[in-house]
Amino acid sequence: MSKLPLMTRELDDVIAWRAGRTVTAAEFIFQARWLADRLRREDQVINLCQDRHTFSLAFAAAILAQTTTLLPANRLPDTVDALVNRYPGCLILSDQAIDGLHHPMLDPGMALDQSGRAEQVPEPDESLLAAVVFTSGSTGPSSAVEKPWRTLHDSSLINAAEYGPQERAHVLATVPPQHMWGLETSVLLPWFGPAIIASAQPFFAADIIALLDQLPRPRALVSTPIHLRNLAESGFDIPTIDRIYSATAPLGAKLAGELERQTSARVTEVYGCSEAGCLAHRRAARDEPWQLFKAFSLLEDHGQFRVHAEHLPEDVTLLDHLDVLDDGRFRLAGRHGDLVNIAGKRASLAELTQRLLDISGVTDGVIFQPPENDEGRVTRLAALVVAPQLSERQIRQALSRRIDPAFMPRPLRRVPALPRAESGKLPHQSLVHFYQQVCEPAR
Amino acid sequence: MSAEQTPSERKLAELIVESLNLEDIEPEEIEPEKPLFGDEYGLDSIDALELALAISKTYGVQLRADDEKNRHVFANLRSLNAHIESLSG
Repeated sequence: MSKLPLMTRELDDVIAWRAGRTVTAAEFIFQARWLADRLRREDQVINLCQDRHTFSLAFAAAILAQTTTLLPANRLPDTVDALVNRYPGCLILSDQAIDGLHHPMLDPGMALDQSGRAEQVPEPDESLLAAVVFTSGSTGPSSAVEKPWRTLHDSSLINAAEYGPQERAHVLATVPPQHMWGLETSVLLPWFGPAIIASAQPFFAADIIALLDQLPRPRALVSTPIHLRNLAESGFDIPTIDRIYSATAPLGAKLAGELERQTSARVTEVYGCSEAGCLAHRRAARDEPWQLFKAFSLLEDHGQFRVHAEHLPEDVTLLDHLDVLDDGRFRLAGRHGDLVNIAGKRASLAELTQRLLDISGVTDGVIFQPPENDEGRVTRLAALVVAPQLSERQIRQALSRRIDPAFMPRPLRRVPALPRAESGKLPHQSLVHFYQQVCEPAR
Repeated sequence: MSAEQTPSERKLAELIVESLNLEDIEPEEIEPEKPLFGDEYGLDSIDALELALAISKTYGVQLRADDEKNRHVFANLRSLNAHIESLSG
């Protein structure tokens, strides 16, 4: 069986920055090995750690123990419960107690107290199923993306070459390590490129700025359009940043340009999906078309695009329509109908609507995406509901127990009936028109 | 009575409803000690970011989430208002 190294960093390289001190590759591997000895009997672990460094350590330890790490789309008790039901006996790794979660947990933070240094970089089997990434709150088979070690190893080398820092840089990330974008950049990139990752996960603009101030230059920020818009509009003085990376939603040339002006950073926007990982990049401030990474090729089949790459277990169908230019670069031209992406989380509108219809007292209803609003702001879903016996508040409360908060429709309006055609279908145009009549006057 | 909004809480409630486009909720409906995030009003972390931005523009104060105490600030309208008042003090 072929082996591929856990990392390509030198043992003395600094790879992380936690609680004001640096961590070398040798120290990291030593602690990961120590933790791996405690995970060997597990088939799967669910890694819910919030501290990025603890997450990385637990992720590395699981790989060394030949254990599969499950990465849920969120930490909601229902989501984790569903995962535990699907993988009976799997162990939860978490550095904090989680409200409403009653499964036994192991805190991988105990490995941080172990001091010592590894003498060599371990080489896991390339065929090890290192991770299963869940792309939505529901844990149906369609949302489970399998990541063999070979895929993660190769895509990390590709990312490091295509867009990662080429020289030693301190990296701060606002994205959770459990999400594919966060996993690739804030966990794996420092194993394969000259990045030193900060363990923090700042949230508000003031938090991001305070942490950037502490990091030596050159420094990079890995984030999303939501956090970046918040940062740009905060009115605070932002320290100089050398590189900014954004993914999960369209960034927009205006916001990217504003960020470049305020921070002096070069802003790189990255395109990808959980199934394929990162696969294209562009300079958003110049509104450049997307440049596909060299390791990927694009295949078109009746207007649907797939990507192929040697390191992927199979070809991946993209959720976006693409306009491919003569030089091979492309522009994004809208999403396929049923799937929505809000703040990097994915869901099927049909599935969300089904959850709404499951509520007792709801006789008809639909959850859909209203026309987009201004740049950088999250467009929420909307719901129209027929439920003569329920109040809007009752419907909202019932729904909030069933779906991820990011997909909670806003507005949610009770209506006497939906504008269904005689066939019973709900044409998108009539829906949008009807919605504007019902909801626009309130704005 | 604790369930009633003070004038400054009302002002903050209006900012919340306006900045987050909460079309289904009237400012006076936000109960000062009910959790802002979660089931009742349906707010999530994206809203927290939007709200922090609106608060910094309106009150000129910076919200942080870097320790346990600061995270509790967002618990409800009352705690958030008290925190803003302490920062603008």
